[in-house]
Amino acid sequence: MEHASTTVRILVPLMSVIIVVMILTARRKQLFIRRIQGLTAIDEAIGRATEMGRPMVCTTGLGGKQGGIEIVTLQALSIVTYIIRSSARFGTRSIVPVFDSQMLPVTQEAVRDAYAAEGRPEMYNPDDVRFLSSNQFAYAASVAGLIWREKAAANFLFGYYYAESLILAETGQQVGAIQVAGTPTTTQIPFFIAACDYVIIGDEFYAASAYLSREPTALGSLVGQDIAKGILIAIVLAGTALVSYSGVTGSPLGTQFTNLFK
Amino acid sequence: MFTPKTGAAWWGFVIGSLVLSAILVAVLQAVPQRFRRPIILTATFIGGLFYALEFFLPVAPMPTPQDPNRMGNFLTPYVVPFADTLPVIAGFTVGLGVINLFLLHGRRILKGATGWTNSLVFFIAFFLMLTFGILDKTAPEGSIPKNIYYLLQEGAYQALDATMFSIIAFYIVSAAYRAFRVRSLEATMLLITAMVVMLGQITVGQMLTNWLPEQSESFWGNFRVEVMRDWILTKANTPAVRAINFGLGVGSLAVALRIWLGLERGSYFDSQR
Amino acid sequence: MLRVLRFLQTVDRRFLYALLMLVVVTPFFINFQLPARVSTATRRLYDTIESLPEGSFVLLGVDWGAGTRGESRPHTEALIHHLMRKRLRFALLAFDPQGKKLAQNIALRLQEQYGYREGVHWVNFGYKVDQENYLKAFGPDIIGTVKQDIHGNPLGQLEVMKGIKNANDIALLLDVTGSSTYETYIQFLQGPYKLKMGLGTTSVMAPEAFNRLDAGQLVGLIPGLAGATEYERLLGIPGKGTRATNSSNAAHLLVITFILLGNLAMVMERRLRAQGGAL
Repeated sequence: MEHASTTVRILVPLMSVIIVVMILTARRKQLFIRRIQGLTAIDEAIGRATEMGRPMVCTTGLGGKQGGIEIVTLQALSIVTYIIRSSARFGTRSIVPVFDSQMLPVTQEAVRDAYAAEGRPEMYNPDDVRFLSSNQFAYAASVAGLIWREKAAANFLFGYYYAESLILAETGQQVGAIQVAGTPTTTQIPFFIAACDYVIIGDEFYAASAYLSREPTALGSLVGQDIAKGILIAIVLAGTALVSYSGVTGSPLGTQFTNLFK
Repeated sequence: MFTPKTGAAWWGFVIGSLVLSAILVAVLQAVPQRFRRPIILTATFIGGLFYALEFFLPVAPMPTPQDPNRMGNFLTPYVVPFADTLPVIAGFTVGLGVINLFLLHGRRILKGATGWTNSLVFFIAFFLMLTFGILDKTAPEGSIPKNIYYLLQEGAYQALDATMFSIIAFYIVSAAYRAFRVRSLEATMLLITAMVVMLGQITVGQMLTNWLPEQSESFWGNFRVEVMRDWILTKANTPAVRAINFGLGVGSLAVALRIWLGLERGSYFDSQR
Repeated sequence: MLRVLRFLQTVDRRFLYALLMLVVVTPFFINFQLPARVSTATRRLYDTIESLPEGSFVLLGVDWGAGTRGESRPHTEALIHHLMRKRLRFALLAFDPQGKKLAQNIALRLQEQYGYREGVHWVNFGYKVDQENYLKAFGPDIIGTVKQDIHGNPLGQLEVMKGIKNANDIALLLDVTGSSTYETYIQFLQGPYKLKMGLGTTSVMAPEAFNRLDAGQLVGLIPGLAGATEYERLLGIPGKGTRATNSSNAAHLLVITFILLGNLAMVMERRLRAQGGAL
């Protein structure tokens, strides 16, 4: 779609307004979000790494199909930042491999800020935020090698992953790392489920930063997302009912409704 | 301004752009920390606004000699030139990755750290590929540089790439063997589904139910393994993936909005008080 | 007894890897062909190409590299065979740096068989970056955007490009990929220009692609090695896909066998323990 259709002109601004309103609301009052098992496991993994005195590897994925700085990678970095802040309190080392050179300065700054925010700026080691390769399998080989050499105690995999997902997760499994993964790439979720201890599925990935940081912006956004999803569910149900009705009665209503979304 | 330039004009634009970029980078470096955030937010907002307006504003016929049916609005002609700025900005960061690799591996060699020989291999591989990659562009067919580049590219790089991908096959076996256990009702359902899909994927599996009539001929045809596989993929898997994608789409919209409107704090910019 | 059951549940992964290597390699040395059924998704793509009039212009995206060569090369080969057999004009376009060269080699190898000539019947647009923005410019003006083929020949002067100005002149869009490049093709070329589009994708990406087939955005789909074999059957040319499928079959059977053995052993052990039997 090069330009918005009438339906998109209504739906996207409507959902955007809802999300922004909920963000502003959240800054004034406390909102509730349910427990997400995979995210509570992050603290368990940090604790384990601290006990074992071994480092953690936190990857932010490959970036989207366009490469460069992607929303999903920024979201992954946001989760990794939380992990680093938590681990900094216990003095546990985190290694952050970077796939895209454009993400390198952003990642370096976020990691440096995370240590500084916990009052441990000296823990920031420039060699621990390292660019490896922008080639998918060269990156996979490098991260797998890193996990092996460092005998990582915890392995966090957030962001976009493709065929290399199992290479990273299975390597982590082989060194006995506790593994938490979250990706919007639906084709890779089965591999993570097979090899990781906890997996954050689908849009829980976007809920992660809200759940972890409890910051009003993220919380409000999450509630706004849920309302927007409610609207989409209502549209799907209405469409199903109308198309079924048309199928039985021969009424053109179903076709007219679906045409609104073409 | 957005038309291709040639000759002296091309050189003028290239040099002018480089000088302007250098000045811009110097100015940005000199800006005090507290002003950087407003600058980043303003640039992000303007960039996002351009694409949002171009996408949402009403369109009218805007024919070109190449495309008489083209539709667009007053911003459409600038989409491509505007997008061209992205690879330019990306170009500035390419060196960052290389510098990072050089620093990391250089330090390891100088310190004689454990595994410093691997770092040495990195430098050798880097300069070999760089040198013969450049020579390959001008070397005649059959020449030594061309053959060496072929050896490095086809013999080493592509073979290594394929090797890494094929490792997945081994990992799938060990992960599937470990994970598919009938520990609960859900796990049993997952195992049965996986078995049907796997058998449906392979000819040997399909042969198991070849004795059943065709789906179009009899009700029992629905139990042919490839028919069940297709049903799982299209009727069970597809709606589930779509549902997840709906959620992801909305989530992506929310994060994009937070970044575009400068509402995102606490992660990359500063802490929310 | 318990030791055997325990062993079957905890087989060393290195043992599994060695067995896998054996069952994957062996079929390459034994030539045999098992009967394969052609799925609807594959047949639909085949039928679409069959229905195109001679001389129609097809854009073939070759967005794969050495990594997914095992699956993507049989897809590309089968499709180029079909395009050449049907006397269709086609252009190769790569958003993967390796795709340009790998697909070029296939087309060069097959062209003699069908009396095809580069520049006259087919062309390679080469490797391009930034797929999204490239396609935005490509759709309205193909020649102005691509400018020249991989040998530096001006595109407008090539016979193969006769009458081709914009994406509306493309009769069929195909993408062979191991990633999600096809999504961008759908968003910026298939959708806006209402093009017929077919896809050849790796097994692991196929489940997601079925969405697009179901939504009518794809006319057909070749999923993984199994799809490649099916397509080769339709063409009557047993190629790389057919040979590799025997290995794939054997590997699948190995996985299935060990999963079943592991589960069987687990259930038997539980029963024995419950009975307090001879442990």
